[in-house]
Amino acid sequence: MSSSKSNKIVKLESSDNKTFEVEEAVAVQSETLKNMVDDGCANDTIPLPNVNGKILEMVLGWCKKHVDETVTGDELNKYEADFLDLDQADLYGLLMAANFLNVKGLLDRVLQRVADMIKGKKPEEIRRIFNIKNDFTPEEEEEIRLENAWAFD
Amino acid sequence: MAGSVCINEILTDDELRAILGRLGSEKDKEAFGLVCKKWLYLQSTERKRLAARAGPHMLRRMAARFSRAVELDLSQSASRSFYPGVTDSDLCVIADGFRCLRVLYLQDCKGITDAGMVEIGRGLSSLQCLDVTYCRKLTDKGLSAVAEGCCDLRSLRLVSCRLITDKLLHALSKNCHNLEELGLQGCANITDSGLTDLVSGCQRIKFLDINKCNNVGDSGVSSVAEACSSSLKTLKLLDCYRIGDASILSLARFCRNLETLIVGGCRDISDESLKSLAAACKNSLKNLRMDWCLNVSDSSLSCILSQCTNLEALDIGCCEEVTDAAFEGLGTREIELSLKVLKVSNCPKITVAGVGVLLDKCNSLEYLDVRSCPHITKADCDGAGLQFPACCKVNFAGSLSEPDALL
Repeated sequence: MSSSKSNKIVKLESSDNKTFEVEEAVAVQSETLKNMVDDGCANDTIPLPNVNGKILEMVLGWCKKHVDETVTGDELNKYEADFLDLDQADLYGLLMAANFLNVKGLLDRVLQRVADMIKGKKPEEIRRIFNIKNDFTPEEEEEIRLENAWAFD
Repeated sequence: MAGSVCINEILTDDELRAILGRLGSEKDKEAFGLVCKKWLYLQSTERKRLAARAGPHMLRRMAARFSRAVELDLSQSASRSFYPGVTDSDLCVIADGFRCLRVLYLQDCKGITDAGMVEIGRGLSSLQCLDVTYCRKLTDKGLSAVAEGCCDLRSLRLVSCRLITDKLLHALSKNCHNLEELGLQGCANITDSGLTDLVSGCQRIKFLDINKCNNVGDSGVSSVAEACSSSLKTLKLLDCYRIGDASILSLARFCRNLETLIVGGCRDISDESLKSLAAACKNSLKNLRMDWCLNVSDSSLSCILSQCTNLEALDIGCCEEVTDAAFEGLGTREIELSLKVLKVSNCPKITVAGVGVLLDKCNSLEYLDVRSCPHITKADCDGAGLQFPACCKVNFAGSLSEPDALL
């Protein structure tokens, strides 16, 4: 089995019916796909109804880059940094796909990116960035601030 | 396109929690919690440790909000006290609200009484660590209720709770078999039979502080040594003047893992038992305080110095019989002492010659106390050309801040 592993192709289909073919070594960067391969369920095209084509292409691009032995450490760092320069809709799509497909390194980077968007900001700013409605009354907000003042580390 | 998608509609609670987990600072976590009610819930339930200075109303709100807190620090101190301080009704709120609590610090909360402790015993069944140091009003009644209700208790500190008697030790023996740390310094009503009772049920004790429990004698200590032989690491018997050689011999016989022993003021201890201890605990012993042990002389001290190769802190202050000869045995040997702290204050027979031999074999010395040693003055040391290690502080006459190792 191991000699054929390097040639084996995995076929994936996105929610919007785009098909992708990748080498098994690339696909198994995703723990989810790795489990399917190990269980022998990866012989036909694998449907991924919760990942669209644009996002799936990005995820597979990431996986390919991380399997490529010709890429240096510095190049990889730059790639990862540029990779996450996305608008929010794509960022969330990527987050959910990385989570579902369980691509640990990618998930980690995306979560960090979102966390970085929160760091150092005031609540009003955070709400604006992520389009969250403020469901506190002014009195409730004041009470929480008071609790934060009395409870510390 | 930024801002038209609401993150809460797309990400699950787990994913939001993962993002929260990557916010390092408390300030950012607080801002996170102020964004919306969902984020407040996530931030509050993630919070495991809490310190608070608050009355019952605020505590109730905090209990409701930080419902999964595992550690709560309400300890007071002279610089951070407020009136009226933590009360029994606050403890009631805590017992009802912080159900997952494992660690509760109440040092210096002088207003609390047995009624509050009964609440703790009733509500906090997962409690593992309780510190009520200086809560002087507490008696056996309240603390036995804690023992009965909190059977997983591992650490209990009762320093200066002077109303405590053997009755509490009985309750602990019956209920708290996982007890590892017990701090009873100043609980002077404790007797040997209480200790024997304690270790019949609590056989995993690692740390026992009975400093100044001056009713304790050899039979109590021997019971502890035998019952907790494999676990005992720290035993503090400061000023337990009834303790004698029998105790030390029991420790030598049973407690091969002993790391810290404080027997300052136990005047009846003599060389023979100490030599046995040195031989038995030669690999484990790290800290030994035996100031005011007036019968100690060169014969046991030289054994200790040459055999206890991991010894880091030693206090032989006021051991008037000790001379330079105790150190001379080191001169011929190839050993390197690990000693960091050495206190020889008030040892009139030690001179710079002895100190010189010591320094030769000890590069790690960080603190040397030679106060009231008439033959070890600054002038004497300079005159003898003694070379102290670079970071070493030498206390000749003043009040340098002392290291904690031997307290």
